[in-house]
Amino acid sequence: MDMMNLKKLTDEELMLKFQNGDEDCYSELVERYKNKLMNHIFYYMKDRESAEDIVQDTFVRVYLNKEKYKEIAKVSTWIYTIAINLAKTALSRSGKMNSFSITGKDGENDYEIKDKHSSTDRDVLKNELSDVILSSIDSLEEKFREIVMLRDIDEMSYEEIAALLQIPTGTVKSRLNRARLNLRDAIADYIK
Amino acid sequence: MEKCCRLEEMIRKEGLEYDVITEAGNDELSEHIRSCSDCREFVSDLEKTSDSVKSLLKVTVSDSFDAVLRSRINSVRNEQKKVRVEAVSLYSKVFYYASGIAAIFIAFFYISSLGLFDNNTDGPLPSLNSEMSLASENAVSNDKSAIDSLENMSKSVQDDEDLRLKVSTGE
Ligand SMILES: [Zn+2]
Repeated sequence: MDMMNLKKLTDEELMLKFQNGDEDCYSELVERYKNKLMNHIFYYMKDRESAEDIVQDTFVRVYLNKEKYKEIAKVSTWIYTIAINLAKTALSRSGKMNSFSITGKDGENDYEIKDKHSSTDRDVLKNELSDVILSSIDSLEEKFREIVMLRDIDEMSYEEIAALLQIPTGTVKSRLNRARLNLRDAIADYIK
Repeated sequence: MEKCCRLEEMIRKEGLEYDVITEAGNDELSEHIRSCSDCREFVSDLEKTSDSVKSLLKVTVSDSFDAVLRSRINSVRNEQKKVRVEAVSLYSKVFYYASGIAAIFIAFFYISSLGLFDNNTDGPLPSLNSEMSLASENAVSNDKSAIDSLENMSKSVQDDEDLRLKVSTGE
């Protein structure tokens, strides 16, 4: 199958074909997700190199565990879950576990040790506003922060976020509004 | 006139279940937003906030990402192939050794059956002796071909071993 046709397939169709041995479909999935994941994981790790390592590991796992993907879930949910779990493991191993963590089902996310951007790749913080926004996002309550990141930084759909966090779509939207309200308060002086 | 905070309060209580920036509800509140300038300004503030978050620099993977991933996948794939070949080679090895042992048994029984015949040479018919010596000559040559085939078998086991080594070293 040529590359043009691959572009037309959904993630789930690609995954199915990859499970049947079509490696081009795997490459297409990597292409679709590598930068999205990098962007997301960067805001967890706050460092380019370790974020890229996590994204690499994620795709190696996708390759090795293709049989474990079941059609009932969205591919995006599956891939993000792998990546976020790897990031959390890496952060807790390095003792850098900060407040950027995704809500676990079992309330395992109760640790809230604030990380003060100690090892941030400062090249990302282009200007003062970026800096203010980042620290405002950082200071949000976790349940708001994750939604703002997934929606405005990762550009996920409400349904994808709902599936990933295992909460109703309505809750995604009410928290998103609330998160933006809190952010507005923090950056009000900059956006007027 | 006091500023209207109806929408803001609703959101603060996390009671608004649609994205107020991109969606509109069909309820009375939505009607209110359309007609209330304070609430519309509030929505516009949220929109600006969202835009600034979106404007944060996007981080992308490095140029070497694809090449590094490809080589990692290749080494994983070779690892899997090696395991598979080893499993096959173990199976065929067992098969070869088992057939070798079976051949030794067959040869042994065949030779001993000839031997038994030999022990009964005290029969009353001397003319049989020439036949008997012929048979034992045959037995010797049969014995030899049995040894040859055993040698062939052990050689093919050796070949298999070589093949396995070649595959596992990636030749
Ligand atoms: Zn109003």
